[in-house]
Amino acid sequence: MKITFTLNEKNVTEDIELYETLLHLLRRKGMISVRYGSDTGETGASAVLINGNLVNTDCMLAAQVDGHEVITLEWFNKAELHPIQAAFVATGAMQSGYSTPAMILGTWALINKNPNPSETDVRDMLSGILDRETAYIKPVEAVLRAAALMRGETNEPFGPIYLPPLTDGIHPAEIDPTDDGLTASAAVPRVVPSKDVPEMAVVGKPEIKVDAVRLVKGNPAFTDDFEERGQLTAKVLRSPHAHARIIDIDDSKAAALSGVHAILHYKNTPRIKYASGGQSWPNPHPYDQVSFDNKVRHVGDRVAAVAAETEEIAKEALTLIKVEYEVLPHVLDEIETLQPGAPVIHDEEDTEEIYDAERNIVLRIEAERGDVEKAAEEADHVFEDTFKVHQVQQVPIEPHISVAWLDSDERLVVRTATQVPFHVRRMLAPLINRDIKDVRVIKPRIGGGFGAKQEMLIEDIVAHLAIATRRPVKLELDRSEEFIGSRSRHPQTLTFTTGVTSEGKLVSQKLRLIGNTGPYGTHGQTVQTVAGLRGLTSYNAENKKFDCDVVYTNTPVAGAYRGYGAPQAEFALEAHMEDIAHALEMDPIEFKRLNWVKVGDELNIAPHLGERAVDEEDIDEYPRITSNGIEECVAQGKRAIKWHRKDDPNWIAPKENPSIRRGLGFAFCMHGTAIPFLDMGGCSIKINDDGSFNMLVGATDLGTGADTVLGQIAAEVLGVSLSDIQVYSSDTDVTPFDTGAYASSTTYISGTAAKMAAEKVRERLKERAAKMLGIKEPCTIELRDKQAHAPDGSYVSIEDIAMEAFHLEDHEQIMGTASYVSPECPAPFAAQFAEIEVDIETGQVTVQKLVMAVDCGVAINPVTASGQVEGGMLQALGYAHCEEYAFNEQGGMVNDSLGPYKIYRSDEMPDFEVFLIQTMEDSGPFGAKAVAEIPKDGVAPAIRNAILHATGAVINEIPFTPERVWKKINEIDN
Amino acid sequence: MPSVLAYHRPESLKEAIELASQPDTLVIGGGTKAVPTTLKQRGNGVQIVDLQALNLVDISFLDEARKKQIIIGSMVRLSEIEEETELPDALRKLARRELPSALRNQATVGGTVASANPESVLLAGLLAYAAEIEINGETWVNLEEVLQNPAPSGIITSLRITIDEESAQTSFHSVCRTPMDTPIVSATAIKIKDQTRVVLTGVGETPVLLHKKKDLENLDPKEDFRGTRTYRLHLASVLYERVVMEVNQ
Repeated sequence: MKITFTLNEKNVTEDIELYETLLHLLRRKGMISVRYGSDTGETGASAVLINGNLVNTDCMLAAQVDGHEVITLEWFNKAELHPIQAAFVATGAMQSGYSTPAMILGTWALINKNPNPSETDVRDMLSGILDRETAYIKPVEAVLRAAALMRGETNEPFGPIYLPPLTDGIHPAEIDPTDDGLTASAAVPRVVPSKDVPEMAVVGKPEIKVDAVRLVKGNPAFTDDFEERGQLTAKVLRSPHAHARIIDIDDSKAAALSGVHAILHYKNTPRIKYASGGQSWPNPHPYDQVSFDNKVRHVGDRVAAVAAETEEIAKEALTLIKVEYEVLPHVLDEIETLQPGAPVIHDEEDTEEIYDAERNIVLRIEAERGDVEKAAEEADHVFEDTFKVHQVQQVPIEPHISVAWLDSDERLVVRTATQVPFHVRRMLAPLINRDIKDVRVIKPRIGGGFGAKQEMLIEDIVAHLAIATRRPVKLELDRSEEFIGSRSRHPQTLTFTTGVTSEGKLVSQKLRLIGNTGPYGTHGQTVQTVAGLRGLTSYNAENKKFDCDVVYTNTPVAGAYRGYGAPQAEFALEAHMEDIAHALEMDPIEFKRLNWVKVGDELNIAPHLGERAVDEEDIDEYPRITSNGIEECVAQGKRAIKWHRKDDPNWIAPKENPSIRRGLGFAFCMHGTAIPFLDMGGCSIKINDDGSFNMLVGATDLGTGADTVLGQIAAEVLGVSLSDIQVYSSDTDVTPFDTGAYASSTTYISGTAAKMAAEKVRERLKERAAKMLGIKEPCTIELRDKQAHAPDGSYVSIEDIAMEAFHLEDHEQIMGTASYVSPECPAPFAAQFAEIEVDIETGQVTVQKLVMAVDCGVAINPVTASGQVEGGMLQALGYAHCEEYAFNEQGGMVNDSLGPYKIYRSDEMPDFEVFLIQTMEDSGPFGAKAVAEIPKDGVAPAIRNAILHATGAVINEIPFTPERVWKKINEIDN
Repeated sequence: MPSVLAYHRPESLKEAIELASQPDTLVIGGGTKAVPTTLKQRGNGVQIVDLQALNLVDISFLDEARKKQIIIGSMVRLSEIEEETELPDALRKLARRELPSALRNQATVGGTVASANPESVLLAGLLAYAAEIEINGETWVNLEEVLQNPAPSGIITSLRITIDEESAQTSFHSVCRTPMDTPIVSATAIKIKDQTRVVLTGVGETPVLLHKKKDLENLDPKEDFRGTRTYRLHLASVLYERVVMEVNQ
């Protein structure tokens, strides 16, 4: 069919397929700012303007646009940024930037209709574009500022507000109940500086992201934005059964279909065992996966893959593959799978190192310090509570996508949306019978990952197909596959048993945990270990014990998800501690304060947990808390949430609405910063003729701003501006090794590597500058303002140093390379507060406000750091309140699309307020600790404790969906 | 087999009716539900009949004594309903509540009726307003009847509602996981003089019109992961009471 339409004000006549979506057509026409996120308009990533209105192109046939006017972001792109683009850049409104083009187009349409939109109008416009990263806070600010700019007004520069501290950093503060706190925009980071942190030129400043222009223009950045000549499309046939043996596969009809190039399944693919979790070598066992197996273990498990000329042909071919199954009993629950008679999920003989395959136990983890049982016997009180946490998904708006091809030297190249390019290269090579040197992994920009892309998830499929067809092959998961064929957060059953003195001091704490990894181990060990670590290191007790079974079930596979096991454990821990406080008739914050770890306290069980766990006799000294800003966090948070209302009965039970109860909740949060002795980052920096620098890092920026932060660290050392640092990340052929973006490691680990590499370059610059200036002691030279200054006031520009080194004397490439692995794991701390309303007749919980005050050391960039907290809290809110996998009796997920699987949109968000409390962490680069994961930890317990405050209902299971809450309230009434 | 065998954009109603009467045809307004569903399904394929060229895009107001009759073309987008200030506020709010922004710019009121979605709050609102549906540009049928026959033959060309200017007592309550989520159960009430019409979503195969409180006893909701049958019945009762009390205040 031929259609004619106007594309960015130019007439276009185009032959289309009848089944072709407008999204597909526009991308085929080179409009790569239009992005895939779903097939049903759920995400809004594909939205463009049609006749001036924001419209999704993924749920629209190309034929429907015949005769209409289409505008994409490419229409805006000139040398200068459009005011809307400028506002998005200035406010740091993009994290991954994947859906930013749709937001900018929506902004343009909104302002055209209404030049002076309210925040409500803006939030309504953005409601059609789901964002998993920003919590919509900075995009809303960007739209309001763009509207002001387009009205001819000027905006104040966007940056943090610096607040005076409310405490001395050690002791708690009394909060004045009449103090209403700040009224500034929620988008503005609130920073409480520390006197221990020196003033710096680039670090600590709200620098514009290094990739802002690329993202705000929708320029090619993501995996699907680059196409190889002759590229085929792959699709995966997935299991309809939760547990079944494949008796036979007949692919003859599919293979005969014109346009099909290869079909892979267990009968024609080498059976090589592996574990898919993207982790350091040696990957934790068991290696319980193969690329294609003769058994399926969850609905959505791989059965076969097809490479074909088009997606339509590939989909057709899937329908022609005949699979004969022997359906087996299945089990979804982590408790039931341990019961006698439960189906055995791994009955194959070639998987080694399963702890107890007959009982579906992948592995056991045990660690103890002191004698928990004895201490509990001697304690004045012993409290025990059991909690159940559920399965949720990371939901990156960019799904998993990989393209593989053989280059001219017949090396296998994979361009892939991954958080762990170096792990992927190492793990992929043996599966395709190649040496690591014959595999190259390129990580372009990633449209969100949150741990889901810390896997070697689909790279083996495209690699096998590229080798089989000798053609480039692309595979992109659809939204349903993201739910059932990707990774998710581990469901767990957790039981805390805590011994306490009558004065409220903890003497023992035990965590019994059963973690559900689904049918494959992947991150089972690490996530459950982190749950133990987070559950048992936040509070002091001389005696601690972790007792954990990681078990197989037939749910979709669990894996890494931002925070690892911390959100699960801290929900249980903070609920348990709250209930103990009430039982002891103590104020919960006072009780927790009495026991939480403080500077100098020993983390007494930490070394016994983890991939590199060590025995007690091998430890000279246990790690200790080195910095802790929790008291200031609590004080700022209390003021912002108006904690004094907690004791006001008229506020709790408003007379004007008798079915409403209000509550406030608190959670103490502690996280880690990277994995000591394991996570490693590398960085290489070289100078250019003009005194600028190329910085190559193996670290992966998921949208976190890591490239910007690493650039700021290097710029600070080198005395230049951030714009003088060109950051490239990452390509296994080009950039130094990095374990990847996970475990809150990038700023701390890769940042230290960047600082060390920059220091090497700085030393060489100083030596050459001293020589050029006739100064005997290079150590007296200071780099600043892109110049090398001597104590006598003379100076030489860094550009002149570079030109001399390249072209005049003692020729050399000034460069520095460094890598870093940390022996320490400094803890960030946070105070999380929640305000909620409960409708006691229906159980509906409405979250009104979340406040998080975070001690992340020195925030290298307060705008990106606050954005991390905002986005993390958004995901944590979904975890607590509305997101969940739901299954039918056959083990199939019934809500594998967005909507039924509910994530928050812009027009229903509670108020957020974020504080960054500075402390100086001496082990971190310029004082930095981690910030990316801690916002995942406290929302669920804070909401849970707020519901308890409001209603008296004790709810030890999430999410807090209306019926669950209603039933618990009824239990009280009954 | 390609999922779409033909795409038609008829320019006359007569042509559209003829096309729609053919087997394996799919009539679309905005296509937000129908297009992705069709593309996902494999099988014999369908012929698409796109109504966008039929000029069914007007909202017109016919004033009678103390009453206002409103005719809404079936291809009117939900965003246009939301933005039309002459329409009742309750209907505009329900249009906004129905879908997020971009989908609201695509989805049509005719498609909303045709989908008969039991969880559609806009459809519930139209039912509460005793909307009538025009089929093939000639026959008017009560929405209630249309919903009882979820696959009506013919093309929905417009909707008609009549507003008594002195009535206008409306109420909407819902229970959701999040504030703008598709309600587990919702109740919409409109009081016109002495008659109160209450429509519930989430408790039947389509939105359910209750003529009297006793009708609550006849509900037979299906359960899903968001709400059991018992819970939905409880919500129906609570929300019924709330909206009736509110329109009578």
